[in-house]
Amino acid sequence: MITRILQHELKRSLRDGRTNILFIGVVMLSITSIILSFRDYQLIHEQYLENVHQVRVNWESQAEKDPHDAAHDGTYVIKPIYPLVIFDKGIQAYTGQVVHLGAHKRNQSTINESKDRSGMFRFGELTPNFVLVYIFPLLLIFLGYNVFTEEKERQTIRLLLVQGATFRQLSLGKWLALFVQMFLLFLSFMIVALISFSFLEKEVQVHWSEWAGLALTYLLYFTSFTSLIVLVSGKAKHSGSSLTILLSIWIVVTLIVPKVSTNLSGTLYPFPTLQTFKDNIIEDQTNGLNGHNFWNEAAQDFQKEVLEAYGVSSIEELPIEYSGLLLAEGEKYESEVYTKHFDLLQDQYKKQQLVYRICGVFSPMLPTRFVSMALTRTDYGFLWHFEDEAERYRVTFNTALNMNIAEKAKGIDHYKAEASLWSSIPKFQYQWQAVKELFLNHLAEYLISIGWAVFSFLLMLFVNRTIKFV
Amino acid sequence: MLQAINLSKTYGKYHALKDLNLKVNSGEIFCLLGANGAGKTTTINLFLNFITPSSGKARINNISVSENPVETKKYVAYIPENLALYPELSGLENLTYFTGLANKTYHKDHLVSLLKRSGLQKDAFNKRVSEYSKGMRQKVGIAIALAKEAKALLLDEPTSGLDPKASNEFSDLLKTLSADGIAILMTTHDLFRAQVTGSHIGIMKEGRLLEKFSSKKVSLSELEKTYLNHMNTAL
Amino acid sequence: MKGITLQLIKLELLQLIRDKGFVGLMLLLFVLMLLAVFNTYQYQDSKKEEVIRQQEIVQQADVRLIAQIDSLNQGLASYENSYTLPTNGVRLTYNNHRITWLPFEPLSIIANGQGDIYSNYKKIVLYFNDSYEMTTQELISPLEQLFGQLDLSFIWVYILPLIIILVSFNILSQEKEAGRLSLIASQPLKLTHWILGRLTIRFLVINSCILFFTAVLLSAFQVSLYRNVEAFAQLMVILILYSTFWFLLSFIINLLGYSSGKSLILLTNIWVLFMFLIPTAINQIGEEINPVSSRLEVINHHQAVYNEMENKLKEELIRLFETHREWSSDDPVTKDMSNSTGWNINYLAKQYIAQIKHQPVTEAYEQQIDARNEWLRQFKILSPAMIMQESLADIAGTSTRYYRSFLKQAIEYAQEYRWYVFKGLFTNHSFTSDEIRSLSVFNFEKERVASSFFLDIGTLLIYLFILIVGCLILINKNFDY
Repeated sequence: MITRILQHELKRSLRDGRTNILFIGVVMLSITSIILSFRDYQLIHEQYLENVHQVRVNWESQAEKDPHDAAHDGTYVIKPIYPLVIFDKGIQAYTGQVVHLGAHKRNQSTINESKDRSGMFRFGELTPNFVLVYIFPLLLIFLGYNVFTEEKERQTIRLLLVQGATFRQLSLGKWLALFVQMFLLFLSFMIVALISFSFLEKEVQVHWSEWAGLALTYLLYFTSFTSLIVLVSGKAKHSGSSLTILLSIWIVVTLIVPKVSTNLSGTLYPFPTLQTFKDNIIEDQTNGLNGHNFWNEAAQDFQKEVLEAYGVSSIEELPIEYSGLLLAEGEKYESEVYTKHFDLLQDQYKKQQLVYRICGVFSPMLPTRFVSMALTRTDYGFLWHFEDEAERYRVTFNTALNMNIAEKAKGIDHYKAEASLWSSIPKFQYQWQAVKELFLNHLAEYLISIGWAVFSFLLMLFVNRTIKFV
Repeated sequence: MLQAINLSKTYGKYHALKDLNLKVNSGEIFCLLGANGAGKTTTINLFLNFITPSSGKARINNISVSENPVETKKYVAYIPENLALYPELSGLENLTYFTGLANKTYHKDHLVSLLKRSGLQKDAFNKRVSEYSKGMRQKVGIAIALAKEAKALLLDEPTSGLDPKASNEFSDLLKTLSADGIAILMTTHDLFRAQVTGSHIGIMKEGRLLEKFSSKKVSLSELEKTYLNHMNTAL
Repeated sequence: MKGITLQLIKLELLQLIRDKGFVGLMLLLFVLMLLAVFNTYQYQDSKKEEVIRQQEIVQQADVRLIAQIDSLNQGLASYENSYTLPTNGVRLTYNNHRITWLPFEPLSIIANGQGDIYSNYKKIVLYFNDSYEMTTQELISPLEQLFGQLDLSFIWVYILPLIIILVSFNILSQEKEAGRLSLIASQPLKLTHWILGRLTIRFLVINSCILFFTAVLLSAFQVSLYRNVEAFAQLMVILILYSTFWFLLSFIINLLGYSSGKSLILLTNIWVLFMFLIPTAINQIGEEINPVSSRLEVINHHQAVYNEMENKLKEELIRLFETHREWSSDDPVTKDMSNSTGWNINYLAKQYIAQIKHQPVTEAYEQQIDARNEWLRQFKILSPAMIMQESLADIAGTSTRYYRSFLKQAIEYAQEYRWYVFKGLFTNHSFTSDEIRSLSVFNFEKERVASSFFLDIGTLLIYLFILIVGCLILINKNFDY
């Protein structure tokens, strides 16, 4: 019975000229978005390699100078780009692209693309993710809003039911038909994406599970929409009202809930202002972390330790330059202060994330988008990870410079390191977060998505068990 | 009052209506009988300028319909087969609204009296139309026609779907209206209703008016015989 | 005649009031607007507070410095080292920075615009941070920027057209589907006039609602309409033109006589076209045609210039003091790197030289950005939604143009301020309390952002004109009944 309904529905859909035009339109849009993203990535990746090279050249071509001065002038690390970015650009444009590494200070990443864009940028970009999140559900609505209302308006529904099909069977058949159309469209989308992806020059290998993870999250998203569409069409009296209701759902899910959840998370768990954040760090640095100030007490302990280690009784007797050691040790301490406060920010973000998860109950778009951004490494989690890695490198970088002072500057006034020092400092190597970790971090999002898909499907079956004719 | 002169409507090669000549004077009730597709509704649509004639003329009050559609609609009222009104308004409010569209304004009391005249029960006046039956809606339709002070009334299958009692009431109502000098043109499948209500009867088939006669001159059985005779012989 | 019209209008209104969908939509509009205003108010309030706090920090530091200079002059205080003296320019370098800020426009509450991307203040220090990019970046979740804020601008640009579509798409088709059309068409009036009449009433109702909601909400959140009549009038004009656009569009679709479903799909597709497809396409094309290299290159250039300068520092310094003779001094303290004054002079001079050498590249880059923005701005005429969004942000003073003009003005101010202070600082001048008091204060010149209000109005009027022509072509159409 159900397969017969499915066949019939698919045939009807195929013969509907309007449906075909919409279908073709969306396919064209998908391909355009993939091609544009593809080109975009190539360009950005090229620029990335070029800039990484240039930053290093600048660093290595410094004049002879005090290593600590060089640390103050610092260098940059550039945020790497994961090839899957062709799928979803996420928050990339709104986060910094580089971190300036200097002495004593952890900087946030800077150079936001969005700052160099006009207000029109806020309308969004034609990316695959945009097509999937906004346009696909819209197409599904257009395809399916009248699966039942049309039958009601033509009164054919009575005939169908008289023939012995139950309303639930009909619902299931129509659901399947819509699902199959969606699935075929999405499948062809993924194939185009995969093909163009295989042409990309990339240094990172993308694991198949990441593709599967992406496909799964979007499929769950579309499934929820499919069920909602059949449900509404089954309950609505007219095609007009069915379409109106579905469009309202679409707006709420894709536009309003994300904005409201953003406002909610920002209001419930606000970040401190930059000034407060800095003031807190300065306070910890002057008053001391865990009640002791490095430059006062701990420095004395450290001095004692060093003297003991070398078995001497005064700094002058040390075979190495003590100020270098002290700077290196101080840098570690300061970094700890920074880490503490950036961790507090991250904790605050984790609370915000909770709000987004709860709001995900009202919009399947939220969990979908979060998983999508996580797997394409364009989410907040990636930015934190990168900035933390950069900070770790900053300590290494400063230690290397300060140890040079310790080893070479003993007894020299106005010590200047040789220019060869700069190239001996290790390069920044970013290690991408393991895929398994990403999946584990976003288990909640998957659960919410699955919940949405299952719940909406069951709700459809439950609500569409009977039909009223008057 | 209503006059068709060689009125024709063709769709490509298909003749929906062919050379119709018809006259309905004030005080007459003309019933058009015929099977589906005989051209009955086409005739009404032509009088309302819902479609434009391929040739010939429809005239209301001696004014050409296709040349002065807005002007002629002032004299004519129309009740479609399934009269729909605004469900969120009451009968009285619907009446007020449509009277306004016809560019007429009356005191509420007058409108109430029109509803009474059309036979709608009093307690329904202020109820929402969503609660009305078909017969009740049609009575509001009559009231709309009365309010418009229409000189001619076009009815498309007015009694289909009404129970016999309601049909009977409706026939009586139409007779009263025609006695007041209104020209009525109605279409129907119902030989009995046509014989009882109409002052004149016309039989249509495949776009042609085959025969017209005064209903007083034929009995119901004669009418039935003539009708079936026409239906069974090819043109 | 007049009585009839009034009665008809009354009955139309009655229908609207009894229509649960319509009332629901108006309520939704109000609730969304309330949420939006509340949210924007909170958001901008904290930004305003932050600006005031930053101003206070500068003021308090100045008051402290002045008091220290005064007490030093009165012999009440003494300092061990010359470089810790309050009269020493070192104090101005590290303790007393200046502040520049972009004041909020009276109607700023209507649009957050780029306010979540840019900060409304910028610290001016003697060492350099003059790149547009190197502005203060408040701590904000980038997700907020990605999803965007819920503000009035969003509701008016995106949601209002949808509400208009939903209340008007089926004026005709609904009559047809409910079976009332023939009864209406049998009345002595033109059907198209009747549709227009019904649409006009809905237009008036919705616009009155918006006017009323806006007036109430703005007043409730402390925006005086009385004192900002002009801006409010501008806002209303642009809103009415925008809603007229959508109503006319809906009128045309009604005149085409399609079924409800088809009309709604058509209108929704037009909505998607104007809200998403055209803007995103323009953004992409803009990038293709006006590619701007990454700002990283600018930073790399600065780094390269800096290295180069350090490599021949002596000559560069000599050249600097030749260009700025008023900055050169014979005071040996200014040359002695082992004291803080000398070190500081050397440090600032190095930054200055590198900056001056780097400046042409920065300026060229900013010009490129401005050129791309201007290029894109021209194409906002391709979508009324873009015109509307930009126009609202302009009225609110939160558009990109405002923020970039602010940064430009801040940098000009910084230049002026530095030249003044360097003259004293490089010559080891003792700053007096009067000199500190009379340090110049930043003032944002709004006039430098050219208003595009009339241009926006003009473009929208052209849109309306085109639609009206379309309506006139279709208005004599006959319908199938």
